[in-house]
Amino acid sequence: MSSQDEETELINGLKNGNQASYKQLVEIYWKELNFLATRLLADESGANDCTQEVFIKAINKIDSFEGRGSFKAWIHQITVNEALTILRKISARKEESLDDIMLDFDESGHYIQSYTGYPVSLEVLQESIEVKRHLKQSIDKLPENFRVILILRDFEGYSTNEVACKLNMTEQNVKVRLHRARLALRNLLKPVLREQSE
Amino acid sequence: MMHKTVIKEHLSCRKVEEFLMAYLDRELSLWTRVRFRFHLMICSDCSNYLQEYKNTIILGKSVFETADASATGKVPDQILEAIINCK
Repeated sequence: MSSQDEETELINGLKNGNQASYKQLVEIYWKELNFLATRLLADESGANDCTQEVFIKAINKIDSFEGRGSFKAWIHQITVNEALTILRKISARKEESLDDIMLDFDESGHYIQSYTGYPVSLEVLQESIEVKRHLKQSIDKLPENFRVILILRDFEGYSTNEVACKLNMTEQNVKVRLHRARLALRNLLKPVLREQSE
Repeated sequence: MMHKTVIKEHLSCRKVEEFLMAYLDRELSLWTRVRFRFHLMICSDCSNYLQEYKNTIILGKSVFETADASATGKVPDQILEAIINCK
């Protein structure tokens, strides 16, 4: 049976209220949705509640899934919406800055600091468990108003316009924050990259 | 003639940093793109900086793409129970 057939069978099972399908849904998507919720909320226990709510909403709203896009995209969308709702409640959009990551230029507009590039190949870094662990921690360390934009735009594949609409911001504001979030993440990764080169 | 103008109107590192996102999003005018690329050719700092910037995005993406394999969390029993019995 193809994965497309399996997905159709799963969706039909969900629509028919089949509890085995509910369990299968959780088994297939728990890890990736819980991972996404954890990164968005930067809170593991809060992410468990969020992910639980996502599955319950998906089951209750399954009749509204029309199959125009992929099921995976649909359930990811529910996760993003649920996490943003939680963040709005708990943080009341507190604004944090990333002033410490701004670059230094001299009077002629050239870098004061010198850039040497990544110490080892990207492929090696992508395979390193230590780098992955450090990346997750680094993403979680970013202030919420930068972290969420970085995740949605760079890692979940939303367009700048979609992120702006979701967060009720201008596209320009999204771009500025995204740029700063990328720089901050790069700076947070420096220690582990240095270790990898030794 | 054109290369002389590129040299004359060269971008500073500060400007390259300012135009970085527009460059990656292909939003720069052709002329600014030419000047941007010229700067990258003569400035190893900016060239390395751009590479680091792009690699950071790729690394972040790869963590999300392998979330399945890297996530350790098992579904807590009471959560699974609550979901299965939600209707």
